[in-house]
Formats: sequence, structure tokens, C-alpha cells
Amino acid sequence: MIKDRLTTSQIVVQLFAAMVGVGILTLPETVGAKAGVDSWIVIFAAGFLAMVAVSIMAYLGNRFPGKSIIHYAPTLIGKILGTIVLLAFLLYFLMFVGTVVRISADVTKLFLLDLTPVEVIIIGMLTISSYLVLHGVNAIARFNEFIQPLALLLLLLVLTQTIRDTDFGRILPVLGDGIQPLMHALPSTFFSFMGFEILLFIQPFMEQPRGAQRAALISIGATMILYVIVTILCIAVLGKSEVTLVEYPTLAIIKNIEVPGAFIERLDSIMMMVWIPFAVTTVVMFHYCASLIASQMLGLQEHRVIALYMIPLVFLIAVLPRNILEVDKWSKWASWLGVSLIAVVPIWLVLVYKWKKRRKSA
Amino acid sequence: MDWVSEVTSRFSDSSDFQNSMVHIAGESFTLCFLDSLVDSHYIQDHILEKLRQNCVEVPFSPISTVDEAVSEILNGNLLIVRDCDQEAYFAIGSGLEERSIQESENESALRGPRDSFVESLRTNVSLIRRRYPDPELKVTIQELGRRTNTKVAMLYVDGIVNPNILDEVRTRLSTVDLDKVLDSGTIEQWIEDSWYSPFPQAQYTERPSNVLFAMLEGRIAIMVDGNSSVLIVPVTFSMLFQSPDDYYERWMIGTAIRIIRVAGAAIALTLPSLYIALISYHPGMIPTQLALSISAGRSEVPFPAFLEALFMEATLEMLREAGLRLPKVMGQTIGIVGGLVIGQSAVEAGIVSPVLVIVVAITAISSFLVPAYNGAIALRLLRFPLMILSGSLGMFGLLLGLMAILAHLVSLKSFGINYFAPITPYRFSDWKDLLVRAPLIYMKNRPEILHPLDQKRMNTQKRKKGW
Repeated sequence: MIKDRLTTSQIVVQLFAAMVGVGILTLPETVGAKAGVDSWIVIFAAGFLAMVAVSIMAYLGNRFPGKSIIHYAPTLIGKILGTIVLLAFLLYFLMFVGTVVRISADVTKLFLLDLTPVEVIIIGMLTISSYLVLHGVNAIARFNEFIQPLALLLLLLVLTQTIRDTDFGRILPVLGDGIQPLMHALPSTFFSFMGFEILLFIQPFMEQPRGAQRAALISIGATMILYVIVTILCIAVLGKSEVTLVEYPTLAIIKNIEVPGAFIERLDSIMMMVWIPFAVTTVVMFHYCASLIASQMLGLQEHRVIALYMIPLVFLIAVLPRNILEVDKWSKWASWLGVSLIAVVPIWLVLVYKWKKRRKSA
Repeated sequence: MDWVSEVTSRFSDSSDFQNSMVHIAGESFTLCFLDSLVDSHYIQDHILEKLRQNCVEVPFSPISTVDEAVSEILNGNLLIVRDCDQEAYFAIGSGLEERSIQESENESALRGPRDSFVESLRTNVSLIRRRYPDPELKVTIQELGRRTNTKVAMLYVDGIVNPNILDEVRTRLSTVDLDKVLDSGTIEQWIEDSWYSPFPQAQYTERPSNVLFAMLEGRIAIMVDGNSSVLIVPVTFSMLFQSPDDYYERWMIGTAIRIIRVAGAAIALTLPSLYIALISYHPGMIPTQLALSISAGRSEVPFPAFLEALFMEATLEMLREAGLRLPKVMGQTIGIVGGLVIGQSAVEAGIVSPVLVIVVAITAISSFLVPAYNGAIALRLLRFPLMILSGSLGMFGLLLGLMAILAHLVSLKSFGINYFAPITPYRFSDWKDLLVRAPLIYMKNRPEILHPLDQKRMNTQKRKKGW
């Protein structure tokens, strides 16, 4: 049989899908609140950090061809520590899935279905994502390859219509407040880039694992540019103080658009059509990686059964927060857990690897 | 061994079985045959004539077992037994009555060859052989069906088709253990990848040119005796929108037609659900003028948009099905009843809104744009779940439904080939024959997704650039 392997372009799209999600709606507000008009610098900085992190991950992956972190972490740092690290990843992924689904459902409810219970929307999203997860990483990649470019194109098309309302004077002056606020904004900006760490888990599925780093860099670069465009447009349309007042600035600026002579009255509905797939594909990737960790740690052949067992768990995580503030809190926890894992684990593993190699050669 | 009584006992209670004794030149022969399958004039003119010339050995082949003899008789041949030494031979019968080769009624062509397959496997294979006179064209025939023993032929071009795909098809065909194999649809459902998919996983066609075209791309054709539709495997989603006629016309026209087909499929799939979602959940998304005129039309209608649309769409499907089975004369009545009574009167009676009638009409027309009937009906069927989704969750539901369809399509496989290829995974060289039908000289390679052994389709070196 002709075997399915992830191509390099699929990795680009896959990582893009995992990174771009909720962030595209909330990022201008979170970063704008702290960094003001210099938000775009922070995004570039955070993107650069993400690139460094992903390079370390790709380096690790290249040292262990055909193996994911699930295999090489226990061999490098011992069974107990390795299990702890993997469990931490598992917890992070599940929390992330739960909060992303919840936030997406909240936004959907707010803009499209104000009378529908949020649980129904959550179940709807989880049904699609679980169906994809059951069919494995290749099906997910093909799904992303189709839907991401389409959604991105539509998004950019809609965003071009906001240019009429922009005043680029609003993003000046550059670095008027110094570096300090930028440093404050960096962590929460970095949260929007999270998702590239799935490379640790999907690199062994690649056709040419050597191309992973290049693919990941392209992907992060694209995400970075998209975020910068969105944030600059938001600030240029709304101004730095107003950006922090609205909850979803991206939707706000799109709502403002009035296209003369267009058939469609409200472009924010198109924005929702674009954004829901973005959110769903993020959920799919994390859900898949979570089930991959669990199944391989338990020594199962397949990830399917575990993936099914995770659905109620994720559903619970999604519905437990009572209001938007609690959701924020949960997602902060998840993100901090994720950031610490991304920052610590790959470097730690690389150092152990180098040390072990040196000892072996000595 | 007493051939005659053995064979006669096998055919007991079959009134069309004949065993007649003839005396020729002092020797006596017994002829056993089914008179429903063999023409008596043929026996008189050919078989007996040969026997008279006393050249028993030459045109007749000897037979050793009774089973063999029975199967030859069942195939329309004759068993000839020389009574003195009980030697048995069989002679080829004249063959059966069959439908002559006509133009296909289901797949009409404006341009290109017009002949179509008939019910006889021999004739069908000959239609292909005649077009491709090369021993590379392989025809392997096997008998499938526990009781019917139907001949099933697998045709492919050696040197083009990928051996992996060929093995897969062969293995799957060899597992067929059915009571009856009367049509290619049964075979299709046995060897397909997933039974829960609404999408066709084998293409069927009645036109030899289609089969040849597919084989030259690296696909495999499966013919079933007694069936005029030939299966082509493996298939991809993009084939639903392709027709060989696209290649006969100039490329711009072919491209334009394909875009129209895809748009038609999209409309047929989503328009009613879009109507429901916009009317009942998001009236704010429609321009005010249009929203006003729609709601003015709907002011008399007592039903929610979902029920209204469901009613009309269901009626449309009923009309279509009724029209399909009826004789042509009655079909006109159906047209009048459908068009006038249901369309106009339903609006006048205030059951549906005029806009919905337009929506349903456009949906109906666009659903007929998809050339593959089995693909078109899949899209038509999927319209109903989408309507239910958008009736309960609005645009979000419609989007969920579309994503579900996409998720299903990307996870589907056909004989090891990704069903959604070459759209995803990206195979850019195959995109020349996807939505755009590139100019002939730019389609140099066979489809990459089928991994053909011989990639090159043409050599354009001798062709001058500007003549």
C-alpha cells in the first residue's frame, strides 16, 4: 500500500492551524492593553522567541529520527521524570482544548447564536474535532490544508475592507514609552503563538523530518505577520485606548465596515465563518496530541479509544468555568503551564542529550 | 462413461435441454445443447456440415469431465458425443442474441465517440480492444457469484497502472463471495472502502472512451457480464466534476464548464440551508432591501423557514424520482404538475414564499450540473442534514455540517488513494486538471496521485512553439 506521510507543506499548515486560533480575536486587546502602539514590536519579539523555541525542538527531533518526545524523553531524563513531563504536557493539552472550545463557543454564542446554550455549541465543535482526531494525523493535515488557506484568504479579503477607516498616525510614536511595557506584554503575546510545540509530537510522522525546522519557521513567520497585520489594523482603526476597551477588537473593526454596493450587509458574519474553522483546527491538533501521549504512554496501538475517552473530560473542562472571567483564569493557567513546558523541557532535553553524548565519547 | 445420461440427469426438468441423435456416414453422434441458447439453423448449417465432412478432430475440442461439459452447454455451446467410443467434444455455439451497440442514453455526448457498452462482456471487451490494439492492455476474467457464476473482467494497461493499486483491486475482487453478481453495483459495494459514506467510491460509465481514458491515466476498469455500466477504480472526489467531454473542447471552455459545475454543486449543497439560516437566525446579514422583500413574501406563510424549505425540497426530490421511473409520455404530466401546481399554487395558497420557490428551482437546476449521477445524488442527499443543522443552529450549524463533510472527505480513501487528492494533500502538478483544465500541451504527465509507472503522457519536443 502507498503509505501516507506528512509533507513539509502539511507541517507548515498544521503548525499554522495549531497556533492561529482564539488569539486572532483577542490578541490586539491583550497586547494593546500593555504595549499600546508598540504592540507590533512585541509580536515580532514573541514570534522570534517562538522561532528560537521551535528550532530547539526541531534539533531534538532530528537527533531522534522516527521518534517523538513521548519516546525520547524517558530515555533521556529517566522514566519517572519523563512520565511527569509527559503528564504535564497531557494536562496542558487537555486544559488548552477545553478553554479554546469554551472561548470559541462563547464568541459564537455572542455573535451568532445568542439564545443557544453554550453546551450545544461546545458539543457541536467537539463532534467535528473528534471525528477528525479519530481518523489520525494525516486526515487532520489534509483537512487543514484545505481549510486554512481558504479561511486565511477570506480573512485577508475582509481585512482589506478595513483600510478605509484606518489612520496610520495612530500607531505612532514608535517606542514612545520605552522598553518596559513591551517586556510586560511579552508573555501574554507569546500565548497567542502557542501551538508550535506539537512539532515535538508530529515530527516522526513526516516524510522528510529534516525539513521540519524550515517548515516550522515559515509557519511561525506567517502567523507573526498575520498577527501584526491584525493588530496594526485594530490600533489604526480604533486607536490604542479604544482597542483595550472592546472585548474582541478584530470583530469590532470588521463590524464597522460598510462596503458600498455589496450584497452582504455585515462582514463580521464572514469573519465568524473564517474564525470558527481556525478555532476548530486548533482544538483538533491539541486533542490529537493529547490522545497520542496517553495512548503511547499506556502502550496502546491506537489512539482512537483514548481520544474518545477524552471527550467527556474536555467537555467538563469547557463547561466548568461559570463565566468569562473564570474562563480567562483557566486559560491563563493552561498558558502558563504551556509556556513553562515550552521554555524548560526542550532545552533541558538538549542539555541532557549533549551531556550524555559527551560522556559516551569520552 | 455414459455422457448423455450423465448430462441429461444434470439438466432434468429443463425443457429447453435437447439431446438429439444424428446418423452421419454410418456413425451416430448425440448432440446435447440448450435450445434457448443455440440457434437451430446454426446447428444445421455449421455443426452438422462439419460432422459430415468427417473432420471431427479439427474444429471441436475434446472434453474430459462432466462438469466441464455442463458448463460449456450453459455457455451456449454444444456437446457432441460419438456413440461408438463415447468420445466427447464441444463445439462453439453461435452465441446469444444481444442488444446492438447504440448511443448511450444516460451519458450523452456532444462531441467524441457515441457508442456505448452493451450487456455482453465479449462485445464490451471488444469495444475497448478495438480502440487500444496493444498486448499491453490486459483483460483478466474471473467468475464471481456463488450461484450465478458471472464473468467479471478486470481491464488495465500494464506499464501504466501502479502495481500496488492493481494488487489491491485484485485482492478485493478475489474476496467476492456473493450469491449473485448481477450488476456492477453489487461489485462496487463489495470492494469499496467505506460503506457509511454517501460518496461514490467507484465511477461507472457506459462509454468506452471514458474507460479507455481512465485506464490511460492509470486506473482499472471492472466489467460485469450482463451489465452495460463499467466500473472505474480508484476514484477521487475531483472526478465528480470531470467529464471526458472537457478534453474534447478547447481548454478555456473546459475550464469554464468545470467552474460552473463546482459552483452548481456548491449551490445544490448549501443554498436551501443558507436560506433557512439567514431567514430564521441572521436576517441582519441580508441587505435591508432584500430582507424586507423576503419578509413581505413570507408574511402569509404560517410555517417556519425550515419546515417550508424541507417541504419544498422533499417535494422536489419526489418529483424527480417520479419523473425518473415514468415513461416519457407521463413525464410531461409530472412536469406540469410539478411546475405549475406545486410551484405556483403553493405560493398562491400561502404555503411557501416566492423566494423559496426560486431557491428550490436554482437548487434543482444546479444539482443536475454534476456529471456523475451517483455523485450528484450524494450531494443532493447531504442537503437534508445540512438543512436540519442550519434549522437548529443557524450559520454555525451550516458551517459545522460543511466541516463535517470536509472531514469525511479528507479521511476517505479509495483503494489506497486519498479520496480528496489532489486538492489535499497538495499535488500541484495535478491541479492542472482540477478546477482548471490546462491546455493540452501542458498536461504532460499522468495524474501523480495514481503513481503511474509511466509518467509521461506526451512529448512536446517536436512540437514547434510558434507555427
